[in-house]
Amino acid sequence: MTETLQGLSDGFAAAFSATNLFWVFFGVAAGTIIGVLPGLGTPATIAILLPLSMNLDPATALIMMAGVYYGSKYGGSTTSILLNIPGEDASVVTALDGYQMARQGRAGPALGIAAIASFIAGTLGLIGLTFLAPAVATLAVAFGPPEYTALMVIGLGMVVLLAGRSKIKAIISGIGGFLLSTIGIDLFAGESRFTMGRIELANGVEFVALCIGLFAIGEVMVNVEEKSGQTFVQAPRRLKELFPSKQDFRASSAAIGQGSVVGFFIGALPGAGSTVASFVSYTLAKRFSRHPEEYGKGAVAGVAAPEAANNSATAGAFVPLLTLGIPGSASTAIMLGALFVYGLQPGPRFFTENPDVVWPIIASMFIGNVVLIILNLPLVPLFASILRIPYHILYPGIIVISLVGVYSINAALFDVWLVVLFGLLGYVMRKTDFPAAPMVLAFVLGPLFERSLRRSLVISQGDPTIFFTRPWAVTFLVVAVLIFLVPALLGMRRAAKSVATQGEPGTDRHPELEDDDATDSDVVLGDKRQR
Amino acid sequence: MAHALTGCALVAILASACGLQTDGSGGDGQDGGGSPNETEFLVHTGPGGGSDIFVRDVIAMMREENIIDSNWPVRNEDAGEGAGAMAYLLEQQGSADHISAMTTTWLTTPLTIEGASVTVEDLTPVAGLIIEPEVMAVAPDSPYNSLRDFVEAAQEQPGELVQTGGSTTEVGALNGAAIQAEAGAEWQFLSFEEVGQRVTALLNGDADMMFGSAQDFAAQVEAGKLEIIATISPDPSPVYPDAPTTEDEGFDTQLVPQVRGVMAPPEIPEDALAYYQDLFSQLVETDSWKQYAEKNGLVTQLLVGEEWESYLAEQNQLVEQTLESADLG
Repeated sequence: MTETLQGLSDGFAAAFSATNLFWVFFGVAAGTIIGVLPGLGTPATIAILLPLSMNLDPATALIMMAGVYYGSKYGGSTTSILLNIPGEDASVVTALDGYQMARQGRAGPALGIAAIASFIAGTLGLIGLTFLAPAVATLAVAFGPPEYTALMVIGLGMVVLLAGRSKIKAIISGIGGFLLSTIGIDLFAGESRFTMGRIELANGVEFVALCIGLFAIGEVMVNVEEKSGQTFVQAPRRLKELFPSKQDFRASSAAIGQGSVVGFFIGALPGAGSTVASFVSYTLAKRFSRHPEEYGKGAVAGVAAPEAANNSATAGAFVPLLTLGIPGSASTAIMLGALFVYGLQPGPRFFTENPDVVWPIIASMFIGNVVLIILNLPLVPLFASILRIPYHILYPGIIVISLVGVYSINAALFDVWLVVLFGLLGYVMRKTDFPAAPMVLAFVLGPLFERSLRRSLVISQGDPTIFFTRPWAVTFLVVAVLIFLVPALLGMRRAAKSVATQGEPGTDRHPELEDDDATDSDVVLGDKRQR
Repeated sequence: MAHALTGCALVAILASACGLQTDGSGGDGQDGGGSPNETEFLVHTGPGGGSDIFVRDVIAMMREENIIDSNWPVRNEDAGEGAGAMAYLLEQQGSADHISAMTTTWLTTPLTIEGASVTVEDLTPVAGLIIEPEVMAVAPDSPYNSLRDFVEAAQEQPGELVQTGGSTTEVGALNGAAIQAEAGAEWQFLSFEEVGQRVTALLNGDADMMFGSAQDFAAQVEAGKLEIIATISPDPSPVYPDAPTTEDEGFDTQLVPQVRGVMAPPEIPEDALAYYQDLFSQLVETDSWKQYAEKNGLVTQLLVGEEWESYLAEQNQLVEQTLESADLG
């Protein structure tokens, strides 16, 4: 403990040098920019910066690269909230409620709470990294395929939670996403599945193309058709509307706390990462909310939870990298590669052998988080004012940014056609009331579930009891039952009761949402009430 | 006004992307004289993949040692385990400005992936840099102290022991299949995308052993968390000379090594080919490279020209045989 504090304070002394301060600023600013822009991803940016970093000290280089990494998570929420374009994989869930808030003229509070949640969770995650790294690393190593499988059961159960008016439609959408995720080379058999012999599909469908098509393009098409002549998003008018209110803070404090913890632990697992963390955190927030019906319609906690989780996850991702030399993501793998060039070998002895490298990096991340919040809050009014742009300019702008962004990922025209295809799909789904979120969720978690399941069965030689004999796996399965089955049963009883007594609304803050409690049963109606 | 905003955003994207890409190169041109103008270094993995990191490290070292005077851009063509990169390289026929890193994957992919039609024989071999035998790692508390121990245990309990690795057509899987075929043993293969996940499976006991490159295990071996108990080759590993070879253990199947080399498009101009061969020959002699190779457990073996070409042909045949006997082709 005293050793840790000593290390950290030495780290701060080094991190506060003018050079390191400059590079932490450079890193987080670059990260914010690439996070805001869809396309060019975090790993690609860090890779591009690698040659530049070779002129720096190892600690300084890592300070800069780490800055890009967590900085991008801050920026990712911006276009999700304003334009329904996820700027980054881990910000897809943020779009669900963030964009709805923007539509209601609350873009400012959404951006503000995203930045504040990011800051608090990022800092809490770093405290975790500082004091719990060795313990969490042990936990992360113990986490094998059966544990992942059970965790993914919780994640996939969320498909039902993301349902709009119809659970059946949500499940169909989720199955569609799962099926899409099976396209590509099957790692286990080395065979191509549903690629139609096309090399472009060998690595599967590009995730960003799917998200941008379903969300951004689909949204633009629906709006062009339905509301031609008006802007579809209300721009905030008064300064007071630009920042989160006290009530917003109260509504999201629990989500921020939960997201920080969940994000840190999931981020520390090799192979999971911040996208999964954001999904899981959103699920938990919705499940334990007193107003789950507000989620998907502009709940401020629905923005806070995933944004907290994806930032805390970046701190978590440094746990296996620094304590075991095992990178959990592409971005941390490149940082490991950079350390190799310096002749450093992160591993179980890295903390004791290279404290002069490790501690300045960790200390700089505390500083970087402060820089980010200072950098991002003043940008909120500026970004929010983008929504004042008239629709006939904004729509083509969204389409161009989307297509350029997708093209830039693999420099492949094929992906642009995919966006067009998924845009049409998104449009049809909107018109027929199929929610897009379950499809995206199942697309991300489906392969993790499938592979973990198959791995578990390889380990147990096909014996399914492996899921009930490993303590963590059992724990997650029990949690899944508690989260999904129990409330569903209780909900059925409550629904029956409320039908009997007809209408006794809880609160009337959102009168237009009141009839949502009954949605479980009105599958057949599938009406157009909301429009 | 709004138009301008969107426009600005786009210009900013491009400017920052280009700015980042050329940072540090300073635009100091090449010396001309028949040598390539603007080399693009292709890799078949995404950013952060094994080949991607290797190539970026190579470029950094060549810059450091003043072998090249600008930072070559890296191009990630990561579709289909090398198939996309090989197809791209074929399209650059006659170009002096494109080279690509290759691994043994380039030999297996055309034989196993649907739609992968280009083979290394369609391309120009530049140089082989690293050729190393795989080694076998187990946890320190493992009941197996040698390859022979493990194989015998697998014979006694068929299908119960677990080897971990990447896809079922990667080098470790092929070597595992070859040894199973020779010994009449049978064990499971546990696939993970990332090396980190495979090492984790070894550490937590989900897998019993792994065949991999010395680099995969270096950090854990140094910390005493893993042990190297065999070299998966008839020749000893330069990194772990004490680990018994397959010959020592009484196996005589032919095994596939891990290879890293450089390829160029078909019909690359001869002086460009000579230029690249010279660069890589210089690289492996530098201190930066030697230190890098030692730290990462890489075995430098420089092959250029004919030597490299015939080596590839030989390996290609071996991989094909192994795939066939393992029924994966």
